[in-house]
Amino acid sequence: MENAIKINNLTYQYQNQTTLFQDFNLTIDPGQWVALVGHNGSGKSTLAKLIMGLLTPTQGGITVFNQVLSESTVNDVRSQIGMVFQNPDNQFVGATVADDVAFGLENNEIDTKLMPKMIAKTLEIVGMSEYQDREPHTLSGGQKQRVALASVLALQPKIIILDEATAMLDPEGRQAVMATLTQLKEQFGDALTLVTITHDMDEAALADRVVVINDGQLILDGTPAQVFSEADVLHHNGLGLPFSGEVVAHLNQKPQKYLNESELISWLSTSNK
Amino acid sequence: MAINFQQVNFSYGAGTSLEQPILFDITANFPTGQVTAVVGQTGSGKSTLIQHINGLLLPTEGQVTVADHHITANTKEKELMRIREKVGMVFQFPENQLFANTVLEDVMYGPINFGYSRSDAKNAAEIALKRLNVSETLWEKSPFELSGGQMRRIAIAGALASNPDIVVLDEPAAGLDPRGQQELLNLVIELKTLNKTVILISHQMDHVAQIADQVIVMHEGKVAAQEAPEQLFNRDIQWFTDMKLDLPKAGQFAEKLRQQDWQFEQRPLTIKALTDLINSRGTTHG
Amino acid sequence: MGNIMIGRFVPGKSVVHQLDPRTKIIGTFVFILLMLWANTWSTYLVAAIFVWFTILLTQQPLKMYIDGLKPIFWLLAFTIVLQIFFTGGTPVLLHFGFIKVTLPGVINALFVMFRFVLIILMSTIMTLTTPPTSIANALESLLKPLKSLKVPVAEMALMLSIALRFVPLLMDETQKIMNAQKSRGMSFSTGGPVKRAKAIVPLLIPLFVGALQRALDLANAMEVRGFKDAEHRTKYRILKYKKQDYQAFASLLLFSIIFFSVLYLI
Repeated sequence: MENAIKINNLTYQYQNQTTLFQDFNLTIDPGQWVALVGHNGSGKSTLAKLIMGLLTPTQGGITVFNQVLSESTVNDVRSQIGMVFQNPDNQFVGATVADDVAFGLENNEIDTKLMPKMIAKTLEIVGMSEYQDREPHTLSGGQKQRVALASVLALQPKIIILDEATAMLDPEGRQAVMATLTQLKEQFGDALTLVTITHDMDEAALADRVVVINDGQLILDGTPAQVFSEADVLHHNGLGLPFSGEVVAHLNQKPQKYLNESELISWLSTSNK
Repeated sequence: MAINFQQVNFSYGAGTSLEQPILFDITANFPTGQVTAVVGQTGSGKSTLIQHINGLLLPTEGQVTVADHHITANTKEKELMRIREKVGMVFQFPENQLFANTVLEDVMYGPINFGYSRSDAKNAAEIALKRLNVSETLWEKSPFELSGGQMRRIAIAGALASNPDIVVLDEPAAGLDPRGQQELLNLVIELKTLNKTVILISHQMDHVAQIADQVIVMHEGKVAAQEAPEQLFNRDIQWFTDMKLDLPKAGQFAEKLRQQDWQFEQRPLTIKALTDLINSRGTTHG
Repeated sequence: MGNIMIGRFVPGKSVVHQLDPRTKIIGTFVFILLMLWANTWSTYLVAAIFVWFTILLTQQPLKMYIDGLKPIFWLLAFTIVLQIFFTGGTPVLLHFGFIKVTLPGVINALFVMFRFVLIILMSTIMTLTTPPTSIANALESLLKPLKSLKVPVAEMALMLSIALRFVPLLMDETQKIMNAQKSRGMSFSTGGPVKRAKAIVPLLIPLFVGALQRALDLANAMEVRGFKDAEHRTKYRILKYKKQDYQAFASLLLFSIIFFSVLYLI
């Protein structure tokens, strides 16, 4: 089967010769939602930059939908991937919300006449239609990140990578972005591969698959249920459990396997009544 | 050192066509040796409020009392400098304020400005760096070659270097991973045991429930509540919706259990309280 | 932030807001040129009426424009004093030692003041009603002929519009760093000039470091959204003169005719 992203024996050294990744392998299937987790400095954001061709691997290869990433293919590869970064202010290029979404369209030389409709459509998907003419400094962090998401969506990518896109947001903004992502995944289904990079385990719990890395090493890889049953390994790597996992850890009678929050609530309500 | 706000009003650009009122009739107090959390949605006036504590902003009307200093619309720079020495301010993303050639020089900046001799300033900086667990091997390095987490701790050390009696922290844990967040909460608790007046702005109600002695809720530039967290987080659920305020996660979880016909009087605010509640039911029924 | 109105955009729906930015730039430019010609009472009266009329059309409170003049008060006062004291001629009104105040001096000073105030009001009208990026857009369009001289107009316009977009952010950042360093005892109001100049270092370095970081982030964000160069792009906003622009040009022409008639006939 075709992989969305295939990372093959990747080695990456910083300029000061410290090695971050050594023979690192990871494949992501089309349509998966993968949460890439690790503490600050674990290498997760570097991995995202390598995939986007913003950094070049020292050794090994990265393949995106059967296309090997190289200097000559980097533009083609990028046209398949959208990326939302951590700082909401530093990725807002346009003077207004509409102009920002238009920026990517302009780069791809889309006909001017087609733009207004495409902009309106993507802003509707992220729930920012009313803000079309607003300037960035009048928006909250969460709103800016949803605009960033719309800017990416307008280019109809097959893969979207969110690099700690919620780390600088307040809980309200964080919730709005995560709700938008969940809804996006429902809407596009297997046509959209999602990679969310985070250290927030409640966010990671929303994914289909959780990959834990530390110091450029793959520590755990599995479904949320599998990964969150390894509480000790997670703590050892500077990470916690999602809230439901923390609750279960303190219970006298525990469920057989990891349950997410709503599963845990219904389990508690049926077994403890 | 206690802080008192007496009927403070504040407007930006007072007296011009662009006048923008931000704070309305704020009366509040921050007792010595306690952690006061200031919460409220973005734009509710929290940041404006704390900038009055060391005179970065002066009240348009009313008065702020910091120990025996009074801050009013007419307070002079010289007086404010004396207050600033007593107030350590840690703003959001404080790592953005680093500037010096070495970590040590940066942390010494405050003490030197407040009139310490170089050797006293160096001593004070070393104490602050040790308190923040900044390894001695980093002291002579440039702050710009360090990791984000290390830069954060150095910046906080810089704010604490003149050993202030009052420490104000604005979202100090934002963007940190779980381990970094816990370290910061431990610092707040340590400051409290040193009998400092601690003010913490936070969006994370779990942190508030865990370490605050009292909570001030800001809403549209006014104080909407000032009470202990146990009291506050047991208010009616509708009140939190109105204030656009979250409950601690344990409280949210408990509310979902309540919808499944669970009954309890006190809303649990920590994981321990929540699981005690669940476990006690388990033993009576299971 | 102070109350400097020049350069500040205030959103609105007035006729002036809706004019093509090129119309406003050309209009302001022509107005400034005319003001350099004005040297009689009646020409200033005509120009003042034109400015007053345009201000009314912007539907913004007059107080906003008056606030806008306040920051240049001292500059204005200084120029007036210079004109009064250093213009010769007769009759002499007052004598202070070697300084003479003459009637032509006073008249000249008043003219300079009117010229100054009117030009600033007109520029304020333009910036108040036009978003900065529209101004950048308009400049790109107006300077297009320079492209044939190998001037990178598209790049410059994109750079200008991105720079303008970051102005509020950097102002905000300056304020934040200033607050942080003031809390650590930074003071601009003590010590000699060297000490004061030195005091600015802890402000400038974080600002530069922050701006550099933003620039790197922004470059990444632009690259991943397919930016290659400023030439090979289509444009979302295409400027087009509409009916109100022709009306505005007609008014400008009418104003110029009246202006010159008054200048040469009265």
